[in-house]
Amino acid sequence: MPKARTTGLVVQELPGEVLVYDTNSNKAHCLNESAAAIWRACDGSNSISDIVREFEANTGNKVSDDYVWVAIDQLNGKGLLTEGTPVKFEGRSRRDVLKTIGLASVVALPIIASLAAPKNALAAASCNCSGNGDCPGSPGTCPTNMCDNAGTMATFRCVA
Amino acid sequence: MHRDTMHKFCFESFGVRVRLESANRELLDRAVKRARKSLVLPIKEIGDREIDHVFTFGRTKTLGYYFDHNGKDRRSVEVFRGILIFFDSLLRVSVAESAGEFVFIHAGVVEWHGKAIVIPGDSFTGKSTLVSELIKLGAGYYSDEFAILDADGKVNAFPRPINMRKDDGKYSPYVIKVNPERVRIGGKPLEIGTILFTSYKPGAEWKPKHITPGQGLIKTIPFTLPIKRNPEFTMYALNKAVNRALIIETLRSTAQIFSIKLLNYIDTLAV
Repeated sequence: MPKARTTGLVVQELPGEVLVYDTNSNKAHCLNESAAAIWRACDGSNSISDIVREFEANTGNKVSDDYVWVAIDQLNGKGLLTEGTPVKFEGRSRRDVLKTIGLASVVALPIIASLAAPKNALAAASCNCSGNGDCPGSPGTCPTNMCDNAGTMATFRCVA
Repeated sequence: MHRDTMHKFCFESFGVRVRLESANRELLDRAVKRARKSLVLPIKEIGDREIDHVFTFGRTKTLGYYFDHNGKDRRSVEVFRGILIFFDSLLRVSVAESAGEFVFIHAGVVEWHGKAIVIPGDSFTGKSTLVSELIKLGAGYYSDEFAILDADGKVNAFPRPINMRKDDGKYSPYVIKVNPERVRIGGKPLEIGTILFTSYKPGAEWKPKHITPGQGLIKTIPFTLPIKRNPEFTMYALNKAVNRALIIETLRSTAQIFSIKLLNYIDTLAV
């Protein structure tokens, strides 16, 4: 049974959305209301049918098993479940399933948007490279990791 | 070199405790002067204890001028000015990543009718150009580098001189002089009124798309320096910041025309 991960996650609730920062992968995820409701229902003991019933009871909207599987598929992919749950689309492609759900459903599809934390704050802050390749004019080895970005004739090349 | 023979200067900025040290008094004095300029707001001199970051400056015949950060990551170059430039950036990033009670976001910030307009973006993406155009239209200058959130999700001023790059393809920095009346040094922390996600594309049309607070929050993450080091407080402050803000995304063409449309749009929605 799918089980929501709890360790290594920082969670913030907003009206109609749940924000999750994963400290293992350094990625942030935004779950819309539907995805969040299904994630909360993944307690390790609820079957997909149980999750469907719980979702319908909480939202007042009827959904299919496929609807929940779409959410489980995304939660799996984002690492928000404790173990991967094999998704059952019964031989159909995910795209076909989404089309069917989209046409039939009045409730918003479960959606999870994600972005990664900044990799290199120093390179983003200036053109001082902190690793080879950070500086636009300095491909290759730069022993000082410093760009020439000062003065009127800056070249962005390695200051060796 | 024994630590006791080193000249040193310890200070605190945004709650981050820093020691600058050197066996050469002149190098230290120049580094201190640069640190004051780099961090904009007055730094508070403190005693040498519980230090978060140590920057050591020196000079040898083989290395030339050098500095290292916390005893490692040594950088060296023939000209001390080059060291100071790198130190300037590294100091700001170190403070930004370590400030426990503030969240630093790479962003331009102006004040418009008592609220902040925050424009997240990395360096050299046109933030400064847009900020300078907004200031010409009457906005107050808070920063062209960092939006600094406090625990209430409000933005604090960090008004470094605006360094611009000319459009001839070469980096020829010049400083925009902002009317002192518009510069908000020590300005009160502002509630965020608008968060704008934009990037330059020639010929782009003004087509603002509203996005949700949650979507706005995660779009801010790639520009949020302390997120890895202090994710709990960072997420908490970001939540507070985005909750009541208008969050829009659109491409932009020329900053001059874009800034007029942006302010008109904000004013229209405020009515």
